[in-house]
Amino acid sequence: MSSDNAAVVPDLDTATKDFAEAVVESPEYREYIRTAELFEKDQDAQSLFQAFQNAQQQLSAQQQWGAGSTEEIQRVRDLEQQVQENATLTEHFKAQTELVDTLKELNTVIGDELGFDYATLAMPPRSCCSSGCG
Amino acid sequence: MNDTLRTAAVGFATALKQQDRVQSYLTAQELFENDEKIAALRREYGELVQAYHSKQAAGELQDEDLQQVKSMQKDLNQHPITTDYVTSRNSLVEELRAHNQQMGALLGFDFAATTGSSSCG
Repeated sequence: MSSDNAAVVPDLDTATKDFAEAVVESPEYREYIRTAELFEKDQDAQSLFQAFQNAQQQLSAQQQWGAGSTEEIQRVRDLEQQVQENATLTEHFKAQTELVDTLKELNTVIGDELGFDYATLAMPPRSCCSSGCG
Repeated sequence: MNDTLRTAAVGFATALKQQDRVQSYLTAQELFENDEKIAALRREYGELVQAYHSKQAAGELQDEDLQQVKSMQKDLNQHPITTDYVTSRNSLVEELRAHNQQMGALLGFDFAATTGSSSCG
């Protein structure tokens, strides 16, 4: 490598810090944090979401055994409807989706440059992120 | 995605690409994917496995069929190009995971786990 190239390419630590900084200062990340803070402060939204998740898990467990009444299915649907109508929750989910989409795009940019998928190789073994980040 | 983000991502990838383990992996990957001998071995192995499954479905499987598959699998796995590729990939994975942890400490979340296609379920 020539000394000219060495001057152009930053060292990995610096490039990593620059990248992380750009992510946390991005509009998508800021919006995610803003909506996460609103969610943290909104007790009603938290209770509603918790109730929805519990009902969904309960129904899913019952359905695995062939159980699950019409009333229980209706209760999950009602709660889902309430979640979809809750501004705090919908804003937070939207922000989360947009952030994850941006992060995926970034991973594609990184992968195009590297010649392999960074996230696939770098992710911890058996990791799941079904609920997004944060 | 804004230009600042894109530029930072390219800068990060460029710096990462300079690392020895990345270079070793890319060289080994290139050889593994393009070497004619290894490509022929992989093709032959694929055909053998396919034939094995067909015989299995037809109820015509014999002991020597399994031995043939195992033998070919051994040839493929022990080929120096394959071992180089696997070793360099494992070494790269180890470095990338450690690096992803460092990045996670800066970001406050796991970039790779959030971004990558998970193997859940």
